[in-house]
Amino acid sequence: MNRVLTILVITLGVGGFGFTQGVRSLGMAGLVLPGPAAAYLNPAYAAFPAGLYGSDTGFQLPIGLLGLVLRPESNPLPAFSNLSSLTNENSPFDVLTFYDQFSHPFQFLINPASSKAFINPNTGYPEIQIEVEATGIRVTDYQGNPIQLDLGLGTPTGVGSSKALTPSPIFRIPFSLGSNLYLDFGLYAGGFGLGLSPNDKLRQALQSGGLEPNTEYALILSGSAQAGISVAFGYATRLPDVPIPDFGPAKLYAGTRGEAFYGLAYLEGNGSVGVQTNAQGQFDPNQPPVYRGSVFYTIPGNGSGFGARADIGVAMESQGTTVGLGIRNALGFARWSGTELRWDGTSSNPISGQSERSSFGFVPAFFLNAATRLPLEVGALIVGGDLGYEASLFGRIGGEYSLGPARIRAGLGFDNGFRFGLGAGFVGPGFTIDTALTTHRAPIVGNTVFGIALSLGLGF
Amino acid sequence: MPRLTFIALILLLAGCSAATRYTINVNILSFIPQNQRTLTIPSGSGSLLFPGANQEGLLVPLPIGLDILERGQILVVATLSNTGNSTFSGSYELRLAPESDTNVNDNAGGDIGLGAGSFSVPVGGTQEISINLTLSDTQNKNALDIIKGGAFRVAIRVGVSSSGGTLALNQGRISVTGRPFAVIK
Repeated sequence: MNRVLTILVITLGVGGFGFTQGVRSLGMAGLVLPGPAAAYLNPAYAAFPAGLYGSDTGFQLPIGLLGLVLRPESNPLPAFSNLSSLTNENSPFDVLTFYDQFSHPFQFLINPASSKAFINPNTGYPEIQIEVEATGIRVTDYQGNPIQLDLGLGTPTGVGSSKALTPSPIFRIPFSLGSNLYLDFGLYAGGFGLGLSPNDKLRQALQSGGLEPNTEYALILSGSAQAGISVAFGYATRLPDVPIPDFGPAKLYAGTRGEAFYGLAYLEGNGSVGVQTNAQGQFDPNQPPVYRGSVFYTIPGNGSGFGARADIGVAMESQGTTVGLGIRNALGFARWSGTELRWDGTSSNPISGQSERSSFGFVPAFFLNAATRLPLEVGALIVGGDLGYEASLFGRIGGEYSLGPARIRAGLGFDNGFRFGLGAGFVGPGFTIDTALTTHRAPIVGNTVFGIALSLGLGF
Repeated sequence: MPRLTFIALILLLAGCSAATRYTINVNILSFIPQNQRTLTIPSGSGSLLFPGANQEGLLVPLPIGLDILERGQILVVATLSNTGNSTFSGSYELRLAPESDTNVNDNAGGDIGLGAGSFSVPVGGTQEISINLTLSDTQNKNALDIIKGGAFRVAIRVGVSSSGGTLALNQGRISVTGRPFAVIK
């Protein structure tokens, strides 16, 4: 298990922190505009002119780490010199604040989740009530409101149903081969997700306080991550213009890409630990906990993965308006070999063995996006929208208004829940600065947390 | 003990700061079946322990046995009814013992008595008695120490002289408050 933990930590370090969405895009709720930067989602954009809808070239700054250290509530550093300075009664350290900021390394959180939400004004300290009755357990705040017990980092479903669909590379080195051909080497680490939540029965029981007979109440831990290197060979070209009646000629682009990967590390785990009620709907104190689930992992030296997939895309542009459709994994194959640990509910010791995970076939990920440029009397406006399906459906609409060197952005969308974005940028001589307001739902306490993301781009 | 694992995981889940207190409220009454919440007191004088047929009291499966508890509260409310033809009088006391002590009424093996009081119920009348104890380092410390040990036993002892009566439990609650971060020193 130690090795699994090691992978998790390494992947968090490389993949978790590497998992970014450009700040310009964040300012528009995550909207991806047409352009070469979107070539990963639609290979036709590899032949598309750069800069038509601006670009998101800045380097995102991990200002969340600053937030982690500057705020005593989330700063774990004092623990290195003296653990008790963190755990004594008057320590400001708050696990919830630490967790929230730590899981958002590229955002400086303005109002991170805090257990102060549980402060009972009568006693002055946060309180959590656990009501134990013969028929059940309830976890509530001091006023008796049930507490939502879900924690997540990334998306636990990050490793899609097709293992050929590797996460987008952290960085890539493209080589143009001429004649519209290109080669592209990438390093990817991502698909990172870690989730801890009660199962449906436990969630129900914690809210109602009642237990059902012969039912398993469990906590589910799920995790996923993968890392590897990829090499892509692509072809993208501009096709002959297509005349559109009443609109004029439209430029047509098409692209295809074959991508192969060699996988170094992989983790896919789903486990639960629970207790079973007896026929009377009560916990039998002598019954051991029930462990279920499996963890499959590959680490260098103990298995590896390889796979290949084909992506295709088209895009059409006319008079400043572009529509594009990309289909990744139109056909894909992947195979990982590694170790599997399995708990079958009878023992806390897993059954360990060599195993593999593979997938083959048509498990496509779709990405449709569109944008248009609207010249105004003062400044210019770009509006766009995208709609995609990968593990689930997502869509965003947004826009950017530019006036001289200044940029103002806004967007709305749904992507694992509703999201909105607000952003601003400044294009100076040789540099760009972008900032965005981000939001997410606070773990456990449930309020909306606002954050600021910042990126810096340098042009020489 | 699975429930301990269970609770420990929930505690972890709820995430907290060093100042966060967890209060565990145990509704003891819910562990006593509905039809066993009333004790019938026979005619004569003597001492009775309730509940528990063999002086063992009621085992309260407190899910946490850590030295992190700062304070607690015990509340027992019962109604005494005189069904006989003479005054129903006597004394009562709460008995508390660690899980290992299966006789909570012998002052041996760890059991203690606290919250003592007396009553006198006229013929045909009823009287409510209430034991409301605060446990802390300065009040009833020996009781707090027992509860800090984890699961414990509790009972009421009544010493009576009567020609027949009943004792019905209305409320039985124990709440303990602790600071989980105190585990890490």
